[in-house]
Amino acid sequence: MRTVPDTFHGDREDSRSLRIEMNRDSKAIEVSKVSKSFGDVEAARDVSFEVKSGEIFGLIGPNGAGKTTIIRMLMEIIKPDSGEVRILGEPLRESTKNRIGYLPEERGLYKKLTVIDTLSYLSSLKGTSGSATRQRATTLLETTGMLPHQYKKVEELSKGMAQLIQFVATILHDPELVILDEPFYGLDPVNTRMLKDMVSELRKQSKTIILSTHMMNEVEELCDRILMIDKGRSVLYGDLSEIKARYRTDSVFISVDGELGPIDGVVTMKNHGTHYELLLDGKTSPQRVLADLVNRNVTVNRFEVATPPLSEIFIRVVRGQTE
Amino acid sequence: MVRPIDLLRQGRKNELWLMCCGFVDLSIDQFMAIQNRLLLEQLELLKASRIGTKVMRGAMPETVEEFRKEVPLTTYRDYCPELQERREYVLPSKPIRWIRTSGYSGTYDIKWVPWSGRFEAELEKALAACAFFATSRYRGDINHVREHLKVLHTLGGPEYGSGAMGELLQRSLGFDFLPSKREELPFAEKVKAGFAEALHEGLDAFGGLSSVLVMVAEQMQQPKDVDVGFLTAHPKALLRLARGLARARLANRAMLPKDLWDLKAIIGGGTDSAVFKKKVEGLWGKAPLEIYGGTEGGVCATQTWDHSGLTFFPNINFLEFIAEDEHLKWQLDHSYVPKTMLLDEVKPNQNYEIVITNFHGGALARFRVGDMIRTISLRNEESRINLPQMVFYGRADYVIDIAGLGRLTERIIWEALENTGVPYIEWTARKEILGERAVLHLYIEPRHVNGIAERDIAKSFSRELQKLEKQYHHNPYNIYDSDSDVAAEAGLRQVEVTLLPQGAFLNYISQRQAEGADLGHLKPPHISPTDKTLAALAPQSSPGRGAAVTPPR
Repeated sequence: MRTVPDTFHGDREDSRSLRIEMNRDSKAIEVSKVSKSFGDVEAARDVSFEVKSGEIFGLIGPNGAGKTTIIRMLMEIIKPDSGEVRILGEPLRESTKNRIGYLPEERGLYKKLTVIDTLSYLSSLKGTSGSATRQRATTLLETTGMLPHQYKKVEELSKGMAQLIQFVATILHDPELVILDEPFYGLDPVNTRMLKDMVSELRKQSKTIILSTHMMNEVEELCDRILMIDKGRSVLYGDLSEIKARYRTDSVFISVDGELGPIDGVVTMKNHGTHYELLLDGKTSPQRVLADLVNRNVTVNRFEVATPPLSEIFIRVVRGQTE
Repeated sequence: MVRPIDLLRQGRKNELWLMCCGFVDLSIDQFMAIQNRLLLEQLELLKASRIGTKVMRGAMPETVEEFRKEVPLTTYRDYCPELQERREYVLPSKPIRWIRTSGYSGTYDIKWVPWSGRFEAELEKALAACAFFATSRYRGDINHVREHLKVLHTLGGPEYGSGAMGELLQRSLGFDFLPSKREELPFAEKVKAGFAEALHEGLDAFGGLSSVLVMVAEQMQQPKDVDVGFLTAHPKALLRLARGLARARLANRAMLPKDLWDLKAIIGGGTDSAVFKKKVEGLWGKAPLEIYGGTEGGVCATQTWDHSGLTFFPNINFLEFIAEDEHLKWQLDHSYVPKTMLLDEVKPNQNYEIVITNFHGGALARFRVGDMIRTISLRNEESRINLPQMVFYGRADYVIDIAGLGRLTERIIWEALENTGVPYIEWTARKEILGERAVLHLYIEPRHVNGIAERDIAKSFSRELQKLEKQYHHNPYNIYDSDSDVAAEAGLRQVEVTLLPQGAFLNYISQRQAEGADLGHLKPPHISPTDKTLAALAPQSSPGRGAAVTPPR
């Protein structure tokens, strides 16, 4: 895996923390009761949410849920039929536009242009150019492993490589708000990991990030808060850890030295080879199980309260609503 | 705020189509929901402004229903002297520019109308939509527009509605206007310079009067000396000319403009585009896209990729419609307050006077533009557009109503004249009383005088008018007409033709220019010219043999 160079890191950790602290309460995006229909299809219905400055916000849901429509309304590409959107404290304006980096679902690079010319062209559209931009482009290309391809035409790149170039173009002008629509689509696992690292790095620089994806499990590790949508409606919204705690199952993953004898309150014990999965009876807490094991002097190498992946939570939420 | 040019430059074509043309996917309920929401936003601005409280006569409507019930219909007079004196502090929002308009019939020679920044931003998208529709062959076809398309400029200056919209379109999609240096050039010179430049630079699109395209094509077919110096200096032009000649030879006919240029789009407004549609398509290889709009409301409606009925934009103006019978009642008695309908209430194959309320901080509320439109259907089945389709019918006060001939608009008269094949430079027409008989009197400046008799033209014109009857001759509310059967028996005698001397219209324009008239007043109107105008057109002859009949205004 490629590492992220220092030059991309921006400010040091302490000052980053300070900036995040300062911006904690400010809202990068406020969406209030937004609806949008296309013919008979309701792409968004009464959707409301806020994105706080400095967080990674996940806009998640299956394909066709309305994520891209919501993003397009944020960017004023389409107007909501009703409702209000405020970006960086105001309705989207010409002056706000260049403070945003937007990776659209529709990738539109010019095939005949070289990578470096593409970046130069797209950054000029954002009003940035000159040696500092060129230096930043070089750094980002290096980070993404695309530097050797800088003089290739876009049509010579693989889909995944083109995707990385588009991502670089999105953040090249150092925007404070980054909106990424399906950024991992078409990427191999190595590039997906690298892109995730870069997104995490952006957060460390106090950037606000909206991550829209149907690959819900891919963003779990990144997001602070999420909006889960289905068929244009908001089905789940809030702090990711709270949501996961709310939907946690009564089971724990455990790895111990030696054999694991019977434990009070455990209904089922599955041996997965490297670890056990214990299903609790609903009255017994995971903490009590851990205390029991410690009291029995069992060496515990891993103890993890199982939380369902987002995709499973989604299915449970949608099923619950249907029922 | 993302603008069309941002998406065009980034090659995001699907988003571009959605942004600009997505309104054609709306249902009528969704269309009305947008109309209502934007009207409520506008009402707040109007209520907080001096001009708003003035024209609403103190009404403070909170709903669309209250607005329609409590706010009177307005004309430009209601906004004076504030708009006339361009008082910005009275407006609902700060204008980004003032647009001037003119009319023959109004009290004010020049009317000023403010456009707000938000209004312009929405117009930009609407105009981009027109450009996409003009070039597209099917829904979502957005592959023919790119930045720096070469567009011939035949519009007014930026202080005029057409010029301002041209400027917005240029900003919206990054067109290059030809001629590149056009300031200070008189109209004819500008067109000439534009085509000369197009010969070597190429020409992708045209916006303006379709009659200009016909005129240029006709001039091309007239034998003239070749400017060898120009061609030598511009080898690209020479190449284009050679290619054009080769194409024409292959087709075994004289060279036409379509042999020289492959136009992607022709955009024009109202009557002009409708009348010359077939002719322009034959000469230039592309039919003009008809849009409807004006200074007061920007662009209000457009044809789409199928070049048939026009679809209204939901987000530029709040739209109300006065049915023709209501309009006629008001014509007879100006104290009568005509009822209005909304777009979801209009019926097919009816004429309506259009009433607009500007959105986005504009100044005009329930404003009678003075135009009649005709709804041709409630949806476009073939292109799957579920919104009422309309055509521009004519100026509400530019209808000549003659017993036996019906209600004649500029478009019908123009089409009939075109169809006669009579070569003409220009024309104007009005209702006159000859003896006890009401006639349509056509004043025509022929292209040449040899062998054309006024009586023959009148006969031919009447025949063409009858042919158009099926298409246009509907006269359900002809309340002026009490003896139509008797009058119809008079037949062809209801049309009189007077041929004007050569140069009549050019002399008129020169005279008006010398008098300092602005662009909007240079040409005489096609319909109902005054005695003074006719006298200026033909001082030597004695036109206007009958007494002019002016419709009530």
